[in-house]
Amino acid sequence: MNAADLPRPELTPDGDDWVVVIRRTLPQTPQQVWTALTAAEDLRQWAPFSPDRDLASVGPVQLTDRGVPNPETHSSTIEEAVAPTLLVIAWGSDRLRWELAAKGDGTLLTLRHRFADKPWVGSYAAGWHLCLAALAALLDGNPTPSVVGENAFKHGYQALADGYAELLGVAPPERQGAAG
Amino acid sequence: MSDLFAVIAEPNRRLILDRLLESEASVTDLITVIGLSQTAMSKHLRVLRTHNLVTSRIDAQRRIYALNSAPLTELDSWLQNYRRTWSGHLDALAEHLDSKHARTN
Repeated sequence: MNAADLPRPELTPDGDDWVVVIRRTLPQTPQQVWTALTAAEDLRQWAPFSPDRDLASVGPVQLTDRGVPNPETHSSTIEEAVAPTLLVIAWGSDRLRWELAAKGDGTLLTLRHRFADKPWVGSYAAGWHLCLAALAALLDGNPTPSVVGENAFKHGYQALADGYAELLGVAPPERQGAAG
Repeated sequence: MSDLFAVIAEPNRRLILDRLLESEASVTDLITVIGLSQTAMSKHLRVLRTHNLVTSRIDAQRRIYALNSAPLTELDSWLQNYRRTWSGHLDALAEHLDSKHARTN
């Protein structure tokens, strides 16, 4: 993966944590994007987790890892849900802040993912790269097979993770293939 | 020490320690072997690192995790007392069996 070809995310410190900011422009309206971000049946087609309810209202939610042999369920909270502009999820100890803004006929979607361990940013950016591609495909009416968990490795995940780590100048958690 | 028990009470964290007991490992190794999501793995490794049960180093752009078993010695010394009790019971059992055996002869 040529790092220069990747859409450039931003990485900023936030206290002891880090925030990676990822933006995408989608041709659908904010309301259509909002539905894909909040409807449980839609999330099961593109998100890294499967929720036990729709996310369009504040309050507790259980988010279960998707696509891995040993999924864990993370007690989470919808902290803000303002249709169709703002969704804030406390995802275990991480925080996902989705912002939707009308841009022409479409939507500018901004994700701010706050997490603890800086070396993981390449992994997270790569994971979202694949998930957001699946989200775009779902919105286009062409749902893709699972791109999370084990399947992510088949979709160029490792090259993406290395590419994003290089782009952001962060040593990645590891590099596949060179492991001893 | 109650903290330490809470840390290793989580089965996936014990699986991580078991894997690292064999050899140090990269994140991909751990994720593949244990089958956890990145989110779950990063969370568990963070807890283990906070409690000094694993260390990590960067080797040619790879992050490699290794076991640090030192905090577990605290657990072992706590168990020592129980081990004494058990071996005391076993000695008593051996004596009992010996005397029984002697009687039937």
